[in-house]
Amino acid sequence: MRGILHVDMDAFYASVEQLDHPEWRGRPVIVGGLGPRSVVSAASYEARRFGVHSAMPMTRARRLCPHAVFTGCSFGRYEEMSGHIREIFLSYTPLVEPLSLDEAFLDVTGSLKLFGPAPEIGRLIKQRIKSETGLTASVGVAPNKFLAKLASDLRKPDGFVVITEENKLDVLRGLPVSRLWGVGETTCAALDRMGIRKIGDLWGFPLDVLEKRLGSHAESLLRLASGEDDSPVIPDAAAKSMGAEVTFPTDLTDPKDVLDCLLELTEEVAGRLVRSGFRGKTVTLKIRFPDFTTLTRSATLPEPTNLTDEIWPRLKRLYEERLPKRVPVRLAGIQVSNLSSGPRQLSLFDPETDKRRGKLAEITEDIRRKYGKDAIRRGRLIKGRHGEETERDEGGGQS
Amino acid sequence: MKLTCQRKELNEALQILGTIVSPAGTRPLYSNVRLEATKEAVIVSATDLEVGAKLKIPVEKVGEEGVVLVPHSHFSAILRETTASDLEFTEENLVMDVRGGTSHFRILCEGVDEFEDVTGFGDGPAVEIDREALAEMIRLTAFAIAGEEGPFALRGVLLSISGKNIEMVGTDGRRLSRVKKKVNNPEDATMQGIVPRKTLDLLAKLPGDAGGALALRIEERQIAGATSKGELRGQLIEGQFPDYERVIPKSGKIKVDMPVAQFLSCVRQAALITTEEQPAMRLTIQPGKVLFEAESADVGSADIDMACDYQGEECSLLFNPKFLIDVLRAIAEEQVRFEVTDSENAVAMRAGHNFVHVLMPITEGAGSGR
Repeated sequence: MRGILHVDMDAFYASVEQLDHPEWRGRPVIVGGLGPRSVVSAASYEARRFGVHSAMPMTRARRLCPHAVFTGCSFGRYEEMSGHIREIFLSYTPLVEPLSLDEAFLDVTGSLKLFGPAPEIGRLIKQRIKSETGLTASVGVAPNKFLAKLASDLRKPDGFVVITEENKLDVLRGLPVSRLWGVGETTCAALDRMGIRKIGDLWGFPLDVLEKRLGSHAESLLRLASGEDDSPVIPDAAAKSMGAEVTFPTDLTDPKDVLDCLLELTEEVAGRLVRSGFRGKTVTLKIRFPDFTTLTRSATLPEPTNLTDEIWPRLKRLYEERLPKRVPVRLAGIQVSNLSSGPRQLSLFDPETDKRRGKLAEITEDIRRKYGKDAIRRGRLIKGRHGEETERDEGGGQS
Repeated sequence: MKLTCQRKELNEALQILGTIVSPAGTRPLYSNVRLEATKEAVIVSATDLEVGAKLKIPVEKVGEEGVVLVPHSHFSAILRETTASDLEFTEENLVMDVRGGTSHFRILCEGVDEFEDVTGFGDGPAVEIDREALAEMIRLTAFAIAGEEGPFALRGVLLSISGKNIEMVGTDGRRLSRVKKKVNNPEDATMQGIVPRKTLDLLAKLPGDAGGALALRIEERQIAGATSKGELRGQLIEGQFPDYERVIPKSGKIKVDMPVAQFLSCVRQAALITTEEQPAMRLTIQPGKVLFEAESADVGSADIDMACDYQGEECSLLFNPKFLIDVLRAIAEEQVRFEVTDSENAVAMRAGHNFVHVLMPITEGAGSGR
């Protein structure tokens, strides 16, 4: 059985605005164009109580909730947060299908052995989103996409609903047919004429009768009504990379510290590659300076890899040879792209070492998963830590 | 400076130097060739400070000796486009007149003061090898070395001379080519060095008399080569070449003799279906035939048979077809012996007495890590 998650950020744009403007928290916040003909892009839950919802004309929103905070969209910021959330997803599975900036399907079927049952992964993701971004998400866990999306919507905001093969019919029975995919106003009206209003009403309804009214659409409708859906989670092409980056609490002034941090990020990304069964062929280094100038440099490896020992020397060379010798550094990041899985070219020298190193990477990942990230570290990195993780673990000290 | 020279010969020399000169705009001084007129010959040289070559073109008559830097791009274009068989060069105050037939060019030149000229072959123990034999050795090994993305020490061919033997080895860590030949080594010198790709190409192209020999010397940091018509000197790659002897299989469990041309054709056909992302082709050896198969989710599939004289047990391996194509294209012999141990270990391909190519297969182990 598959383990599918649907993660839906609660009032995403509005929540990001509230996060960035603490004084707006607890107040109705309406995000959208500020011109006379604009519509609402997002409304905080406080605003929704006044009947404001997205796609509503701004003028109407102003009438309904005149005391709200009205603000324009800061898409760059939403994308940044969305990217961070996607990184969280990708640390559990490469099979992430984003629907928009604030919504995605995850297929965690292949991750169950590593991270435990799907509901547990769902909880972990929900907690990590909260602790790492300060935002709340509603998570649905189910054996397929249809039920997962349904589940995430049932107890919004901050919801967490698990639908299983066992309870799915109980959940579906009383829901309006409009909750089925593909049931819009027309179909809804057609069903209504047949006396079908709730999903349960469709159960046992003869297919041929339904087909006469609805056409070929009928069969999939009946399948959805009984909670069946086998559509796959299709990761989008842009997600075909794995990366990690860190904005330092205080800018780094020693290139050695930057390198230490990059090595740590490399280990993190390599670990994620090992867990997901991918290997990458392209390595990209990203460095941002205090004036926000951002430089990226890429290099191609001879063969796709998921080993720190193969990614790191290339990344180090990019930093040392292809970037200006400039400090301080505000942000450092690494991305591995051009991902592939499957057959792998063997190497001529030390194939035994190859196998051992690969094994070591897997074992290291296992241990880290069980005992935490710091259970195994490279000699070079045992001294201090940088960046956001430092804040969390040691209170910001640099070595 | 004043001289008359055959256009064709000078043109050929300039083409060879074209691979050395720096592209215009990077190191302006070294986008020039150095043109020197002596009593007996015209000497053209170019260097990128890593490798340099000096080529000698005999001339009928040198009117006046001299030396000057000429921009390679325009000089070679003029030699290519003009039609006269002889060209007359006259240089005065860094302006050179080129005359031939009804054409006349004036080229602005530079003085040679700042230019670091190519050091000649020099003295010291050296070996002699037939030019064509050396070119063949380079052809058989240079394709296997690592590219810019590979380890530093593997971006060249290891050239070793000991006694009467010369050996060249090229590897990128996934495949390896080794070829051996005989040299004339009057002083019984032993020498070794890793020669980068550009220098190998130049060594193979260094002009000389038909059937003539090439003198070769490997110094501590440089390699020098000389023929009757030119000299070359280049930096060696400093690095630790891997212990390659132990990865060359002594003998395979399965041995099949295959016709090179047909083998190559089959691989090229199967390669039509493989993709860059998933470059794996299956080669299956069965009694009486070899089967080449490729499959790609995006493209389709291919299977090609080749009859062969084999009666043992069946075995099957995955390869990157590019690697097989590279080696099969380099082999001049008609037959290659294909030796297999198993699907996870290197195969050896032997042609003639002196050449072996070792190639690692692709493992099917999909999925999690390594």
